[in-house]
Amino acid sequence: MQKDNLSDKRIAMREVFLKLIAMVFFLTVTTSPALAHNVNIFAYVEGDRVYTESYFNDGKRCVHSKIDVFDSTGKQLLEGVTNNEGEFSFVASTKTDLRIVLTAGMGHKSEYLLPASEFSEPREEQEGMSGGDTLGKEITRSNIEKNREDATSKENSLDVKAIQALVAASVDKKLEPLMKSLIRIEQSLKKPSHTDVIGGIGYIFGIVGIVMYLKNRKR
Amino acid sequence: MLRTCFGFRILREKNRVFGQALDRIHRMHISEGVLSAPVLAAGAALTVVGLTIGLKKLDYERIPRVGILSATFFVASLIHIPIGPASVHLIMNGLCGLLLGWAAFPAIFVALLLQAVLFQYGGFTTLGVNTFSMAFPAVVCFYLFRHGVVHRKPLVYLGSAGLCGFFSVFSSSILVAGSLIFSGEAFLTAAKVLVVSHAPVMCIEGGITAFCVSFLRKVKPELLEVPYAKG
Repeated sequence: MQKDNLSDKRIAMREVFLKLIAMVFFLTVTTSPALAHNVNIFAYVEGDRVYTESYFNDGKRCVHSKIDVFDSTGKQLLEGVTNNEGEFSFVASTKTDLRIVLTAGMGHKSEYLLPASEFSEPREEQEGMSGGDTLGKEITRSNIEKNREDATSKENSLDVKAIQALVAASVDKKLEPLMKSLIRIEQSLKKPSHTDVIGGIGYIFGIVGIVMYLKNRKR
Repeated sequence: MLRTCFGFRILREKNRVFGQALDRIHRMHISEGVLSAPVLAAGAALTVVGLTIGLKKLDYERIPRVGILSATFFVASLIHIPIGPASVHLIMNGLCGLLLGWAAFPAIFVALLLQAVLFQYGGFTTLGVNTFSMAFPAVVCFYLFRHGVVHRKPLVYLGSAGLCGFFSVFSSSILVAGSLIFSGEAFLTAAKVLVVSHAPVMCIEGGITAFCVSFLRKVKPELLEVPYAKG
């Protein structure tokens, strides 16, 4: 009789134990370990406007979060708040390296360093450049052309400017989906993966082993 | 179940008032650059004290248990519960405290360290503050509830376990809000928002802790007895 009771109890315990393991396994696998809690901010330039998008690591947008923009010397240029889509854009008054800081409330902070090279200079403003690189040469050539055209007819120089503006605008437009997908890729790289979680658990067991070894030596 | 209804009622009311604040102030793992230096130093010092006590009281046989609960804590932080526009995560420090006592300090410290290293979750300078705000409530709950969970009556032990899970998350929220006190967030607002946004977590963890306690009582009741020789 006693033996029967014991084996029944053991079977019942094993069932409960297996259900528990299954539940834990189910939870860890399905709730996607890719959900952690950091914020990230990404920024790109279109024309003279800087667009920023702010996300939590699990993909949610950071709505109504504070954005501060600093220049390379650390001086604050402007501040703003992200909209309902987690976006915030501003016109860059100075085309220097910008440090864009996102503060999404308690304990959330992230920044994006936007290099000055992201700002594409309109051709007319680069008259002072030396002809060292091809860009400079092109510009000086187009400037020379422009000046020659100027002498003949004003409409031609306007055409050149207009064409340049149109080209810049259409390139920006084409680049926009690329930019957005780059942001997605960058964001997915920052998500913790299954391997990170398993690695972490491995480290924990490793530390357990080391501590046990050390404590064993003292015995 | 009573606790769940109560919690949700509060959440619905307070949501109207703190709707805006709710989506900003809700996280437990504080990241770099948020806290002031004295808070970081104090947190680090307190954690060192906790770690020393925890490691001293650690029995050789209990070490694997510490590892398992550390892994539980590690994984639990990845399980998120969406609250409006943001989300909060499980903490499981109540269970850690109940089964480990002071050894919850090294368990939680290692888990937080690995989270910071592997997925930049929280920071390194804030490791002290984060460990203390999660491990200290675990120890407190250990002392408060450890006799209740070994009691004969189911109402007593389930209630103790549930309260343990609930109260540990609650105290952690209060401590996290307190650590932000010198960083520009008003303590009362921060405390209210953190507590309210973690109300579902408190209820869920109460339930999970109760379940675990009832399971362990059947399978291995020695785990719930005093975790180490000294109390």
